[in-house]
Amino acid sequence: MTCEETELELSGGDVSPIAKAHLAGCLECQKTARVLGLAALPELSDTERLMLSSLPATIQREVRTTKPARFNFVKQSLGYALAAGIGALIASAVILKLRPVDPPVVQVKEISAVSDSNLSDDEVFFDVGWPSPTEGDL
Amino acid sequence: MSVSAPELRVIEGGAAHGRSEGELLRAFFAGDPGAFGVLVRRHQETVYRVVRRFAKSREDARDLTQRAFLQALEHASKSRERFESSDSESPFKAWVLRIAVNIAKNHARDAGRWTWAQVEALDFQRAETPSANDVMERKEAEELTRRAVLQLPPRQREVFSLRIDGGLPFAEIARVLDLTEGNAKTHFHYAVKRLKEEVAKLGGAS
Repeated sequence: MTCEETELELSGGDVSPIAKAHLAGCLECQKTARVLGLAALPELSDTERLMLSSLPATIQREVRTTKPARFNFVKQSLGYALAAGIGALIASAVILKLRPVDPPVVQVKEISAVSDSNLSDDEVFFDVGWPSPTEGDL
Repeated sequence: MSVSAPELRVIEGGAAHGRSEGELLRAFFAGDPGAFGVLVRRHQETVYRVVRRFAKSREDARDLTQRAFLQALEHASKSRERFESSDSESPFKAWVLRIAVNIAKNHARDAGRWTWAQVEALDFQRAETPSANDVMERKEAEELTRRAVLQLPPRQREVFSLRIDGGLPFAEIARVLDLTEGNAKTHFHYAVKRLKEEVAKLGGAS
C-alpha cells in the first residue's frame, strides 16, 4: 500500500488493516494522521443537534412567508403588464402632443368684380366708370 | 341530532423518507410543503458540518445552513421544468453543498476573520489523563492547523472541507465541485501536503 492510498483511507474514517499496518511503520503517514486529526472539527454537540432539529420547521416557515415574493410569478407578471400598459398610454399621449403639425393652408379667393349694389360711396369709388379724357369726342 | 362522520386524512411523512430527491421536489412544487422539510432533514447535518468551519459561532453556522437550503430551493424552482416534465433525478444534494461552500467562503471573506469559536470540547481520547500542559499544547496545535486549513487555496480548501467535515466520498466531491474524481483526490493530496508543511513550520506537528 502506498502513502497516497493510506492518506485517502485516513481521510475517510474507516482504515483497513493493511493501511493500519502501513501506518505503523511509516513516519510520513503518521504525520498525515496527526495533521488530519488536528484539522478535524469536534463532533456536533447536543446543543447543535437540538438546534438542527428545529431547522426544517424554520426553513419551511421562511419558505411560506417568502413564497409569494420568490415563487409566485403570476402576481409579478400581472403587475409588470399593468405598469407596461400605463406606460404605453402615457407615451402615446406624449407622442401625439409633440407630433409636428402641418401649417394651415389659407385659401384666398380673388375678387373679380364687385357687384354688390348696397356698397357705400367710398367702397364703390374705384368702380365708378368716369369717361376717360382720351375717350369720346375730345 | 346527527353526528358527522369522522374525517379521515392521510398524514404525509412516513413514506416520504424513502422518496428520491426529485420526487420530493416535485411533491413540494405540487403543493406539499412537508416534502421540502424531508429534504432539509436529509442533508442538514452535512451542510452544517461543512459551513461551521467558516462560521464564527454555531448560530452563525445555523444561519448559513438555512441560507444554503433557501438558495438551493430557489435554484430548483428556476429549473423545475427540467425534472417536473420527466422522471429525471435532481442533484439537490450537490446543489445545496455547492451553494453552502460558496456561502461559507463569502461569509468568511466578508467577516474578515478566520476563527472558529466553538472549540469547546477536546475531542481526543488518551489512555492516560493528559496533563494541563498537554491539553494546552494540543489545543494550540488544533487552532493553528484549523487556521492553516482556512488559508489553503480555495479549491483545496473546498475539497478538504467536503471530505473531512462533510465526510463525502471523492466521487461525490467531484460532482459537487464539477471536477473529476482524480482531480478531487489530487487537490486533497496537495491540501494535506501543504497543511503538514504549515503545521511543521508553526511547530504544531512536533
